[in-house]
Amino acid sequence: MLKYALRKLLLAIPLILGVVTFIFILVELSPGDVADKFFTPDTPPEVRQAIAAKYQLDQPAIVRYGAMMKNLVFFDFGRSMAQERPVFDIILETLPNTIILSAVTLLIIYPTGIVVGSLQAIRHNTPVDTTLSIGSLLLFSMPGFWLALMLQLLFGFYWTGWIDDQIAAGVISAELGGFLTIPLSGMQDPMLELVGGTSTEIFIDRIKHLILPGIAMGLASAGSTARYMRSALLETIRQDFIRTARAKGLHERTVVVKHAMRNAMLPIVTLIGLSFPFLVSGAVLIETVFAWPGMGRLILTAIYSQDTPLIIACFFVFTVLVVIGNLLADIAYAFVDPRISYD
Amino acid sequence: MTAITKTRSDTAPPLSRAGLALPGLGHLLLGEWVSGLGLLLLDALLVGAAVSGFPRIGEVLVPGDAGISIHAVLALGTWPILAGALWFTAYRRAFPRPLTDEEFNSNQQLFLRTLTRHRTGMLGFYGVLFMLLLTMLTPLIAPFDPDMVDVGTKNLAPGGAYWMGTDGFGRDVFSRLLFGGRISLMIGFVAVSIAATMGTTIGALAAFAGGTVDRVLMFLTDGLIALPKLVLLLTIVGLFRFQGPWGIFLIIAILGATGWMGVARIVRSQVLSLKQQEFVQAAQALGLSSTRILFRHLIPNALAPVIVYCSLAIGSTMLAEAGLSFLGLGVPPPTSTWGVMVADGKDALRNAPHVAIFPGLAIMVAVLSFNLLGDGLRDALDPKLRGH
Repeated sequence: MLKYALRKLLLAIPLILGVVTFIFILVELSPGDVADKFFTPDTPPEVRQAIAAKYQLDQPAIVRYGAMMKNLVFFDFGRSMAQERPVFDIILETLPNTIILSAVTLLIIYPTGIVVGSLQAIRHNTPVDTTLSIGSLLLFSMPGFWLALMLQLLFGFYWTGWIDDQIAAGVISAELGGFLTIPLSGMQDPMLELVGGTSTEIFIDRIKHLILPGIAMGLASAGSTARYMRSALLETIRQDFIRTARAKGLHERTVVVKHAMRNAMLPIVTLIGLSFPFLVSGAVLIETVFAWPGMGRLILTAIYSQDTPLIIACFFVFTVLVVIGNLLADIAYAFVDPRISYD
Repeated sequence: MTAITKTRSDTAPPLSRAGLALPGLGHLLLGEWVSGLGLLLLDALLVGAAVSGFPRIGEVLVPGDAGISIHAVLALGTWPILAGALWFTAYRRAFPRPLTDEEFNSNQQLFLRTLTRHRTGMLGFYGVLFMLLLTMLTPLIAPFDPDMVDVGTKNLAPGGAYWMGTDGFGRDVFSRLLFGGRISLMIGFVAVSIAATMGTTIGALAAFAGGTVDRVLMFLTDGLIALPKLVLLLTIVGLFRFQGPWGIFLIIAILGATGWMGVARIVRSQVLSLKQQEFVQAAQALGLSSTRILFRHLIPNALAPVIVYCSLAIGSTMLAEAGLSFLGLGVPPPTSTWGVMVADGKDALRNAPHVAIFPGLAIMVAVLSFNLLGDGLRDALDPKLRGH
């Protein structure tokens, strides 16, 4: 297993190098000199030269490519041109935020998808199945950023307005109302630490900020996971070993949960690892709507400001994430299915 | 054979003749409610276009000083074709053409029968058809100029003359939705056509050539699949900033050029398995050239799953385009798509939620239709699933 993982990681190196090279060529081909945005027509020539030399912009592309590749080996991504500090520090600040949001998203996608899909398969061709099918298809066909906006509208404006009315009418206390209000954007309440909130308060605040982005990112994929789970379970239920389990006189719940669902869930495990590219793509839009300071918004600002080192570093991180996701999927698959062996 | 011929009906029940009065009525009376409602919806489109467009036909044909509008001419041409197609469908349902047993059991008829019996597939089919015709007939239907700015009618709620209200510039949301849909749908279709052509060529080439060519092409395919598609798209679009009248075509080309990998994988695996079959050996024994075998024997037989994939891909491409436009990296202004419209609405979400709600719903309905159609096509084209 360890050998297999190492081989996979080694095979990933050409992929990562290929991606970085591809993006480097893209940036080089793109119109407009990257150096231009530092200068105005009045910039003195010596300042120009100093800045160009600082970012090696005065050297030919192939030299810069060589230097970049050499530095990448040591995880040195260079300095961000727009933010004037090492790219590595920026990534280190941003990546955890994305990982938190992705983890919450995965926690929403898979339990929801598996439960809904199983329910549909067990109640196959009943109104329950049809309703949930329509629901997951709708979610699956919905633009994620639009769902995010609708959640903001629903929880931000209508829900908050309703709570304010209740507080004004004296039905609930202001404290409870404050607790029930869901924040619309950002990662935390900046005031809370200033006014000296307790760690519990800060923790609850963090969780509350995760609710809407997590739901917005998770629901669409939960729809497709449910579709997948439904067909997988329907397939499994038809098989002979389920008939055997029923013939043994096992309780229907035991048959479904212990025998059918366990086997139907095997392919789903692989899906988790393979969903990383989609998570990153979704993150760009959702993080923009909810002002979440993660990798998606980082690459967007990097692109807007033509910040070459930052763009390349982001792609580096994304590719590494995808490779790790694939590897985790393989390992998880071998872990849940003893028949699989990679040696 | 008897089991199949039993279900044949070359004579339609008399109820189906109601369709001759109003296409769709016949289907509906026979209990084929999806086709019936779908056809009635298209009837409504036909009548709506006539009622809205014909009284002001001069204004529609010559909208400004720019002379005759080509879109209006196309719309005027579409109207009689749609009317003819609707009544022809009703006529065929009322007086079906007698089929020989051979015709009845042909692959084509089998496909048509399976698809028309697939309820959700037909729902998707009529949804797609409705959207396409709606965008074709747009100049006749749209009550206002989609780009007419009027601060006097800013952010009006839906109702009255403005069916879906107005946006922050006083522009009619309904008219903008119709005109934006033309672009959104066109992007979906053209980009997926490009992707399908590229993917089929690359996949077939990889499988047919084998060896190093296969390995290089598949490394490229797997590498591109691994990248988050939207991020790649917005990097390319963001770095190159396509402006001017050709900007939209470059966006379409890029959406196509980043979407071929799925098709390439499907076609490759299909061709790999087809290559081993006897009819290919027979073709080789007959002395046919490799190109002829590839293009006349292998690729056509590999296309069924590609068609299914494309139907689903149109939906996801429209979603990708909407996402790009939402981030401000989509089609260059003044062209508007549904994604741009949602982005326009996000700033006035509290005061005028309808500006963002309607275009989002439109995207959802369009993508849903393509997904349903794709599912239906899969069931109708896949012989293994037939009969389930």
